[in-house]
Amino acid sequence: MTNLFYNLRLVGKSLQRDRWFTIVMVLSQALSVSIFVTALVSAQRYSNVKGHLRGDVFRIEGDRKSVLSRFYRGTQFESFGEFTANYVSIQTVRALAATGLATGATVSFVSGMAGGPVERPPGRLPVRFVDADQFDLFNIDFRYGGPFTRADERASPPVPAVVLSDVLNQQLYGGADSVGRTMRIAGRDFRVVGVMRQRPGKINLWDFGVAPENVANLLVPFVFADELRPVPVMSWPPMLPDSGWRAIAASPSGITEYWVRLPTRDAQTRFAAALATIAPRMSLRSADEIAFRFSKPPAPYRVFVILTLVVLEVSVINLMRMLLAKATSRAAEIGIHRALGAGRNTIFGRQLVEGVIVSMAGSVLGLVLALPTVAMFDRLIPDSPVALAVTPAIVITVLLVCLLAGLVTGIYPAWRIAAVAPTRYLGKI
Amino acid sequence: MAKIGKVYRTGLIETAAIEDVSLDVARGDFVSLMGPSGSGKTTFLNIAGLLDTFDRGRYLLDGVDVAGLSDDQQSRLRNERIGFIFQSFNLIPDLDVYDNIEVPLRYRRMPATERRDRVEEVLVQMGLTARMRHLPSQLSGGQQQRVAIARALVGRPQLLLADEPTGNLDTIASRQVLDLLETINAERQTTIVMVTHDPALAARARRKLHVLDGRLIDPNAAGEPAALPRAANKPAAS
Repeated sequence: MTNLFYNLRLVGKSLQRDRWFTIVMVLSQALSVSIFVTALVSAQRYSNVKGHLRGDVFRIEGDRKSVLSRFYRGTQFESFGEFTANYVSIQTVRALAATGLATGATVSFVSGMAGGPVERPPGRLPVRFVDADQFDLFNIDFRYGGPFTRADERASPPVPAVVLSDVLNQQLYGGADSVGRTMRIAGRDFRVVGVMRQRPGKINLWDFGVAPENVANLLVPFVFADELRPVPVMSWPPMLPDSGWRAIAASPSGITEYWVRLPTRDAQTRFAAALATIAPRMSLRSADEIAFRFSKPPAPYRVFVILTLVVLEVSVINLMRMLLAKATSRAAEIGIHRALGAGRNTIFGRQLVEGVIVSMAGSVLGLVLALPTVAMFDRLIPDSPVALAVTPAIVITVLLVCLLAGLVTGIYPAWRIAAVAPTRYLGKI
Repeated sequence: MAKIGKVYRTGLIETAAIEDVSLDVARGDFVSLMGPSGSGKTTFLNIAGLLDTFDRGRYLLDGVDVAGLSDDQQSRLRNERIGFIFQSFNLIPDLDVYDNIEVPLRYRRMPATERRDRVEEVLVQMGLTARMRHLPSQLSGGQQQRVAIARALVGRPQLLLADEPTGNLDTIASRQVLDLLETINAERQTTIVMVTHDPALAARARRKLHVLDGRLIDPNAAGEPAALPRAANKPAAS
């Protein structure tokens, strides 16, 4: 231990003596790390979209080889074609609900409506119609207040309670506690009962399939769908609002996502059998499978991560060259240590530690620099649904990558300098 | 040392730095080596100090054949039995006097209290106590060489190798350093091998050898290269 401290002290003195060189090395590493962090943060929105979701949640899905999917494949609307498979008709939902096999279930569709805080003029408001089971199914955590409940829905008349997403609460109320405030939607007043907590930098599983701006949404009990006359965003073939909600809901055009909880294998089998009878072309898809499908970041983000890894690698090679140059400039000192009894291993270890310290210092500084870089990048992304966040997982990943990079960086210069005969440098100090 | 040879190779060119050098040095001896620049004095000293390898011959240091030792073993042997004094002092610029002197003991993994006692002892001996927290750059040439000698002595080596120890010093400082080396040799029975250009300094050693074109010449041995008389007492380096 004493020797470790002694070696660290010598490394510290060495770094301090060539302080400008050290600063340049650390800064060079820090800049590449900050870019790497930005790329990772951008891509990580697509990781762990499942969050705390339990494994017994399923979605009813259509045929992924449907006409629309095939029609749009290979075009810029490919994802739209894919998403159409996520929806079932409201008629099917009602038939499935009537079986009573699921212990929990929720519809989920977003409709652009007119509304907002009662004290302000109405604006465009993305409203997500859901059942109260939504909060339990997705284990939703609340920043303020709590969810509306089944009792609220079943009351006569139903309790006009709504829940805000974190992003919408930020937009409308600056992130303050808005529980108890009144929102007016299509002329009807609702009381805010809760604000959901957004996981930092993560997209929610239930938010995939809507336009990014709709992530800032208001959750309204589905029982109010008839009264508010929403037009589902996904309506195919399209129907005009004039048709009326009842007409839309009664037709195959009224479509929605439909999530169910099936806790036992038996329940899953029986539900699948009922589904095969009611809607033979539909199938059950587990939340795990869905999350896996979305866990891969889109290609531009993947390319971004790869490019920043290349930048990091170039930086590591550059750092390696600088460490070697630095060590060579101090070779006389190393020769003296060798003459006084330091073995090759001691010199190697000390040089390696120096490389790791420089690399890790650059990494920590890079993480700090990444905060403004990420914020700036966030503003530059036009379709960013949730604010990018440097999460603990990112910090740990970056530090591990940089520790590895530091070891790789330090090994070559350390090996080179330790291998040189001390006589080559003695007398040059 | 017996028939030691060292060749430097640069591409296809081979230069023999020393050839067939045989030398027995007894414990407590004081040997001076003289010779023109490039004659092989420093190469000889580096081989003797295990800082450099040799291509031919055999070198026994206090009975240990150094050719078969690993780098770590050689480092340990160097640390425990050999002290170096260089012409350019070779102090570590970032470390103060105390820390410079302590370096060999650090590599010996000596306990802190023993380390401190040893360093304080040589500081007193060299009259450097008042300067113990000075950096080398804050010392005169003579003081720096005294620090270098203190560092060489702190490990209580059996063999002291001095490469032009007075080369960068004025006359007074040179004399002081030589006085010091003589005292160390006399009081501690430390074997000293000193390379010098100065005939006056060389004359103060008990044995005076010459190096010419990589060969040792003993003026007392009728001009025969590498034919040096064995000392009667126990060899420290042979």
